[in-house]
Parts: sequence; structure tokens; C-alpha cells
Amino acid sequence: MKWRAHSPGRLYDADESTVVYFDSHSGDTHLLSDFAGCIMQTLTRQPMTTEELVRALTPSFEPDDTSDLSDLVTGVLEELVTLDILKKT
Amino acid sequence: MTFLLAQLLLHPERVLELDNAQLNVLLSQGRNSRLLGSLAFEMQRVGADTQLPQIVDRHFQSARLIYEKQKQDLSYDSEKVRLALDSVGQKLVLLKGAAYILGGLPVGRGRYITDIDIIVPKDRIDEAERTLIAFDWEAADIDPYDDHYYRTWGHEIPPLTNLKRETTLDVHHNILPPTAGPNVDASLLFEQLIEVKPGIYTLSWKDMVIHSATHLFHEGEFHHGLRDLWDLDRMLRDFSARDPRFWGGLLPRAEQLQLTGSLFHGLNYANQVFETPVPAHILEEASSWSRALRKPLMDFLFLRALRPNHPQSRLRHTDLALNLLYFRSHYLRMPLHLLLPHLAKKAWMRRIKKNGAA
Amino acid sequence: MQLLHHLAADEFKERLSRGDIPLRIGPYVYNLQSNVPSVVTGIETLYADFQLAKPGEFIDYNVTLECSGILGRLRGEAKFIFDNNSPFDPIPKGQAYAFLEWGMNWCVSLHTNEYLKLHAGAVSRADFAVIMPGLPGAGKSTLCAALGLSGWRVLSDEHAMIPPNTTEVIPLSRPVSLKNESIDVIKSFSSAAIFGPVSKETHKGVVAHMKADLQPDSHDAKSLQARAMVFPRYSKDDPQQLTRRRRTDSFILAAYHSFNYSLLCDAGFEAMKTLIENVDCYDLVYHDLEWALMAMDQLPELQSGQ
Repeated sequence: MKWRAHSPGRLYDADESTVVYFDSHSGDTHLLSDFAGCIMQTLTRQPMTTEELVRALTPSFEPDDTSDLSDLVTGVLEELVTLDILKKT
Repeated sequence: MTFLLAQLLLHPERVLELDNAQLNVLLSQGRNSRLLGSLAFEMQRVGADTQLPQIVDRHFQSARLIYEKQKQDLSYDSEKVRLALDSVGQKLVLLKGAAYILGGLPVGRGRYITDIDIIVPKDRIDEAERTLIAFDWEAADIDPYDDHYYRTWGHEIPPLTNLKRETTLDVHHNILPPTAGPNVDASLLFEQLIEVKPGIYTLSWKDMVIHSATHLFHEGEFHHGLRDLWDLDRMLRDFSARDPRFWGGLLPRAEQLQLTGSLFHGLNYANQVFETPVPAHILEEASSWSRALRKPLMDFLFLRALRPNHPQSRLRHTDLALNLLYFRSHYLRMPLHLLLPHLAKKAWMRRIKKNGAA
Repeated sequence: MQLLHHLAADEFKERLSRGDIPLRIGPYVYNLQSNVPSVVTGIETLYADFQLAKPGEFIDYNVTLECSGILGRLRGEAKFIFDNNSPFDPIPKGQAYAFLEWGMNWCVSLHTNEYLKLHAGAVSRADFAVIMPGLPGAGKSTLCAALGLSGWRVLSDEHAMIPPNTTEVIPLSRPVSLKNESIDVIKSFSSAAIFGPVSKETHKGVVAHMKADLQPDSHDAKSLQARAMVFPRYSKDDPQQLTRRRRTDSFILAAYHSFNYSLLCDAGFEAMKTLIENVDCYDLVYHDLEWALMAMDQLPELQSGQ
């Protein structure tokens, strides 16, 4: 089961703790945490499973923080699905 | 039967011959008739838009932008409706503008829509309503009288709205209310559906034309009259060009659906206003359905109502004509004894609301 | 170049009643028509320094505010007509002028999409333009009016119009609309304030409009560079301050208060991104107008100091 972005999407990253994400599929604009923005950027490049995504994100985090990275990632992914930015395929 | 908007819709390249005053009138008529999008696309099709000064063309560009946004929203929203209906094994069958646009038809280019119209079988409409409500569509907050009217006498349930998207969904179970004279067997429509996208259906071409004519002449919403007539013209030209058997099958189908009167009026007035090339023998055969004595009155009523609501194109006595047509359309929908209480109640409710707001 | 006040009073009234007053307002030409006395006076006062378009020039919007028929006259009602449609219910004559201005806003809000349109005021001083998104009740118009009376040019009170992929602001100057207490606040602020007719009992309360084209360059058509976006907020209790705010949530707030951000889809996102990337965003909390003006005056130095 892979996570897939509905549309290529556009991101505005101003080096703040939030990013602006435009989803052309729904026409909605979202204010996402930079973590969620990072996930969207990664998945926009290609659909991934949760494990692949965690592996792709791990380099950005200090070793201590990655212990529950998988849970964190899954939580955010589920939220992004409710926002209709992502889908499970 | 010529006025500026009709002329330009038929011959968009002539926009380059207009002076500033005429361009202003054209834009005004176009906005008024909800046809500016269609006109803007016709002009783009012939390359006339790029030759206009920017101060003029920006209005047409704006019209095209509005259409593109609408089309995107329609794609998204209709997919949501499809998923909802699919969850209970029902098909998404689009009507009118939504059908034209998602069906990729020339008539859909630049066409504005306000709601998404769909049709479901009458015996499954309650199920459809329940399912849509479960999927984030909300029932309209309308007064009980209107609610009762829709359900008992109309051919649709009260509109559903997706509050987040601000989209309105009209769910029909027939294309004419059961209380109107002609008795349309809606199951016939479902026998000839076309799948235009995976899981998304429209009526057959003949049925779309018949429905459009019926909608125009029975619904009483004449501020969209010219637009509906343009729809008919575009469809008749397109379908007859692509299907050699189109004309031959149209009248028999209208007879089968018992909607011959409306179709005649549609063919006749499209031909008069937009020079739609309806074969003479078709018009002749269809005209036998409309009682000859009534024709001059019908001409007076319809031709006046179908012009854009603009001084340059509005003839005298238009308001009277519009009122008569509104009355006629209601009469066509409901037997007289049911009609009068309905109209009287609506006026009463209007006045109360106005005082309440003061 | 003919200005409205160059017309003799009688000629003006006659032409206005017949619908031959084409005014250049920002990038558009509005043709006005009215026979309602308060509207005639209001236009004469507030649009005195606006340019008349030449005969035969293209007119974008035809706007009429008239007393409608015998019944209408008896009931003291007027009608706003655009494209020969009356989008509003009949209007009590006492509110006619307010509806003219709302109607003129409405034309731009709905029908023009060659710019990204924010629901915002825009002001400028020298080459420094500031966009002020208008959150409801925030006191944007009051601040705009005060700025206009203090040497700032009012580019617009209602529509900040930005050509996509630029940080320019297109001037679209019209009178500033003030409500209720703000009217008295501005009257006390400066005796030089010129007002049009007062409309009472509108759905927003008492409404009046202030002449805002007080600078020599008020009717210059050239666009200006936006350098800051300021979100004003009037508050009696909170401490006054001018502070930087984050770009990403400024983006969202500005987009939310835009007429056509969503309509423009991807192009809207890109236009807003280009704008926000290149202007500094601020919160301005104030209860004292003089203090707020001082804070605004300091913006150019604040910027160049960074």
C-alpha cells in the first residue's frame, strides 16, 4: 500500500515552522507544518510506502528523534488523507 | 431576428468590426444572458480575441478564467458524488451543463453552471439522498412549504449543498414533474445512457436535446432562455454532423417520451434565433404537434422572452410576456387547481420575509 | 484632460441623468447615470477631480442609480442597475449613495480577473507602497482615511490589485468608505476631511464616504512597488505595536481575504507567493490614530535598516 499525492501540488517554503501547500486537484490551499510539507514534497516526487517514506525522511532528523518517527509519519499521513491531499493506493 | 449577441455568437470574427459602444453593449448582453463564457470561447476559437485591444479582451479573458475554475470544481465535485452513489451501487448520471462540460461536448465550451444536476431512478431517490447526506452533502434549509412542493409535485428533491465546497447538487428523478400533462417514462432515459468518463454517464444525444427543449419551455426560468436556446443550437449542429442518423431518430424519440410539443418549440425557435439548420421536413413534421392557432401567440411570448434583458434588444411588452410565460410554465407543470394556491402562498411568504427584514 | 469639475453644474446634472458621465477610475472606465439628488451631489463632491474619458472611449462598466417608476418614487426607493440588471432589492433613497459605491465595488470584485485582487487597502508615500488587508472590524478604512489626510496617497480603500508575478500595485482610487464611529473619528482627526452624503440604516449602520484623492499624484495611472503588507487591528485594550509577522500565515490570511485567489487556481498561488516572498509582513495593533501614523511613517526606514 503506497501513499500518493492527488496532484503535483505547489509549495511555498519561507523557512518557517509552517509551509503553504496548494493542491490543484481540489483547488484548496493549506497551511501545513513544515514536517507535513516535507512529507508532501517527498511524496510528490514519487508515491511511497510508509517504510520508504520514513527512510527518506530519517536523514533530516537527529538519531534520538527517529525512534517514533514511523508513528509520527503515519499520524500525519492519515491527516493529509482527510484533507484530501493524499490517497492510499 | 437579429441582435448583437446572437449575431456575434454565430459569427464571432465580426467582433473586430465593432466600435467601442457596440463592444460595451455586447459585453453587457453577454453577461446578462450568462453567455459571456460561451462567446469568449467562440472568439478564441476563431482567433479574434488576440486581435482585440487588451482593455476589451480582459473582459473575455476573465470570462474564460471563470469557466476554467468552474470546470475544475465540477471535475472534483462530480467525482465525490460518483463515489457516494457508487457506494450503494448507483450510477452518476449528469444532466444539462454538467453533462455538456464533462461530456467534452462543444456546447460545454464556456458554459457556466450554477448547480450540478443529476438524475437517479425514482425508486432509489431516497437511498441516493440518504447516501449523499452521509457523504457530507447537506439538505437545504428551506421552508416546509417549498420542501413539500419539491417532493410531492416536483421532479427533484430539495437541493443538497456541500458546505465546504459551496456546491449545490440538484437530484432529479425525472425531467418533468409527474403533475405535468405529458407523462415521461424516466426508465426510457436510463436505457440509452452514454458513459463519458469512467463511471460518469449522460443521457443520449437525442435525450439531451429533448431534455434541453423541455427544460426551456416548461421551467419558466426565462432569464436563462437565450442560453438554453444556444445550447440547443450547438447540440443540434454538433450531433447532426457527427451522427447521420440523428435527425431520423429525434422525432420518434420525442414521441416515445411524449415531449413533442417542447421539442417542436425548441427546434423552431433555435432555427429562428440562431439559424439552426433544421431540415425542412423535420420542422414541418414537428409543427403538426403544435396547434396552428396558438403559434402567433407563442411567437409573441417566446421571442420576446428569449432576448437578452437589455434595452437595445428588449422589445416592448417584454415584462408582460415574461409574466405570462411564468404563469404558463407553472400551468404546464401542475394542474390548475393545484397551481393557484401555490402561487398565492409564495407571494404571501415573500411579503412576510420582506417585512421581517425591515 | 477634462476633469469632472470642469463641467458646468447644469451640464453635469443633465449628462448624469442621461447616462453620459464616463469616469476613468484606475484602469477602468465607469459610465455613471443617476437622477437621485443625493447621488448627484455625492458624485459632484467626491469625484470632482476624476478624469472624464473621451467620447468614443471604451466603457467597462455602466452603472445606474435611479428612482424607479411611479411606485418607486412614491415609496422613496431607488434601483441600482448594472448591465441592465438589478442585482439588489429596491433601495431606500436615503441609502442610495452607499449603494452606488457598493455597486461600483461589486463590478470590480466580480468581473475583472487580470489581476490578483486582495480585499485590502493600499497606500503609498514616495515610492513605498503598503498593502493593508481588511479584516472585518479591524479599522483598515479608518487608518486609510487618516493616512490619506496625512500626506499618504490612497491607492485604494477596497481592492489591492496586483499583476500576477509582480509585486506591483495598480492604483484604483475611489472615496474611502467609513462606518458609524469612524466617521466622527475622522471628522475630529482633520477638518480638511470632505465627506459625501451620509447613508443611514444600511445593513452596516451609518455609512459615509471621504474624498481620498488629495495628493497631486492621486490620479497617476502608473503602478507602484509594494514593499510591505500591514495587517492593521484596532484594539482599545491591547498594547500598541508594530511587529513582523510570519510570511506563511500572512499568505493564508491574504488569500482568504482575496476576491479571486481561488479563482486563479495555480496562477493565484504563484501570484501570491511572488508577492509575499518580496514584501515584509507586519501586524499593526493600535488604538491611537496618531501613533499608528507614526508607525507607518517609520516603515521605509525599518525596511532599509534590515
